[in-house]
Amino acid sequence: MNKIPLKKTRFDIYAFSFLMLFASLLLVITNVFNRPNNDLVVNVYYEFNIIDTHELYINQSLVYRKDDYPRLLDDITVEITNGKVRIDEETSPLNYCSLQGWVEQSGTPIICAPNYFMVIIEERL
Amino acid sequence: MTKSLIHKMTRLALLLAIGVVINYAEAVLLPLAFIAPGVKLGLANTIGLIVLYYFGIKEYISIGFLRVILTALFTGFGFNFYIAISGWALATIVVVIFHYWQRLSIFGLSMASAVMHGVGQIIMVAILYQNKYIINYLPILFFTGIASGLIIAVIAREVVTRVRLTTSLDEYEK
Repeated sequence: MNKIPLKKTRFDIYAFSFLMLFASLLLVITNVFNRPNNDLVVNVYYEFNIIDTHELYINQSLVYRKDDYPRLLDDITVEITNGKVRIDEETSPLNYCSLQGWVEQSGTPIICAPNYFMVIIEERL
Repeated sequence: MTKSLIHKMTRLALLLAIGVVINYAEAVLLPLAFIAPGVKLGLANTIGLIVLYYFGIKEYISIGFLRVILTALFTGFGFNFYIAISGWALATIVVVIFHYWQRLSIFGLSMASAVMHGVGQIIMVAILYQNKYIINYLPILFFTGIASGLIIAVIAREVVTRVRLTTSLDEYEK
């Protein structure tokens, strides 16, 4: 059995450089070509389907109830204020999606994985 | 069953248990997902690298797979499981390829594994949601994967150089 080397090799440097370059390129590409900027709305997904579309510039607080959406772990509150959106209240083991806070950049999803719930600012479909 | 096989299984089971506990403890004690969904240090991957170093690729795959399954017993076999298994699968494929290539050290393997873990997760989420904007998280997961991969490699290297498992495990080589 060949044990993996513990000291860095020049191929590690190549791999590091390649990954950094590729990540930088991806950063540019996604920000330039993969951000919606026309007719933005807030789309709400449940179980991988859009269940609601809300105006981005109408301040509102929306509650999605477990009674209506059984795969939610509990009720989820989505808040939209001044072109920004966040998950205000949710129940999940680690509360990742509420910890993410306000999102104002279009094309940046807020994913509540255990709740099968996602909110994203994107173009009107 | 020979003594050496029992010895090997015991050590692998112990490492698997440590991996599951670290995985769970990290999620609770060291949450980094506020940076972006899916971002984590991946401390449990140190166990994967230790297993790869001491035991080999078959054991690395087995322990990794079992770790995902056992973790899912705590968190459920829902959406999180799909994400975890896809991240593990892509990371493992890449590590297996690079391991046979034999050019990368523990640093390169760890980096590739961490980055591909994130990529696998994002691909799965993008497929499930059928939403192209999910991939906007890829650059963040690349950068954090590179950083976390290097940190994990340093930790794993320190463990394998300080913890003397080698002499007792060499007998299992075929």
